[in-house]
Amino acid sequence: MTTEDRKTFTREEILRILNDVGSYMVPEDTLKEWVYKKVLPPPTKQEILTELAWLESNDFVTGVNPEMGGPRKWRITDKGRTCVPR
Amino acid sequence: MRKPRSDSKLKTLPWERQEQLTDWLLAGVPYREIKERVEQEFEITTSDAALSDYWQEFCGPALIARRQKAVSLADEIAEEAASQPGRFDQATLDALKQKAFELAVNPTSDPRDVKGLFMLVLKARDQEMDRQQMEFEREKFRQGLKSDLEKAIDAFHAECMGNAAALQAWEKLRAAVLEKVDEAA
Repeated sequence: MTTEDRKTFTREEILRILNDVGSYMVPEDTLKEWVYKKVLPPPTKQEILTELAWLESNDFVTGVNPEMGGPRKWRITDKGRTCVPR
Repeated sequence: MRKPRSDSKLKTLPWERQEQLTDWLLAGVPYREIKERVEQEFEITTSDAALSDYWQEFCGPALIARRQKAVSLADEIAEEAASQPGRFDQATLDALKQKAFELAVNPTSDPRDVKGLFMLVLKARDQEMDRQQMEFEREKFRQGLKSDLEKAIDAFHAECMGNAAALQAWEKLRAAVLEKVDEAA
């Protein structure tokens, strides 16, 4: 798997996971753990965060900082839903 | 007779053992340790390749199933909370739903926490029903009290007929009594 393929696969897996849970927001740690378990060889936390940042900057996902503190939570956008791999 | 392949041995385990194996794999237990556990507890030997193969076939779908279960559980709690009109506002309902989901997906959370949240919603519903019952009983008492007093006042009124001063006193008494009844209720 090339680096580019790996990035794509990680992004697709993030979108797939967030799409699976509908309107719920997934805590960042849980999301990283789920992606880690699906992408082989497992990506590092930094790799996952990089792809999350890419998806957010392209409006495929939204990160929310909880008012009371704690880890960020992530939700898929309508644009992101249209790109979920079948 | 040909010896069964180690990966097919894993795939044909009874479901409760497959569940156990899936739990170990999803919990991130290293393959080395899983091989030892499989040998000790299931009395079969296995390999990294067989575990990897098993992972691909069983753990991906198990992860998806767990996510779906978490969503269903959170939806169920939210539906229960939403069925109590006026009890929770939309912001509280959304927060409750999200919390239930997070508890359900967190492998370190105690299943009792999810149950506790559900019980809290049910308790709120019971309290609302108790409140409505109390309100009903109070209204019944108020109506009963009023009608008994009204009967007594009407009887007194009949006796006062033809006496202007007595009728005036009756009017004052009636107003005072009804006011007290409303206050007491």
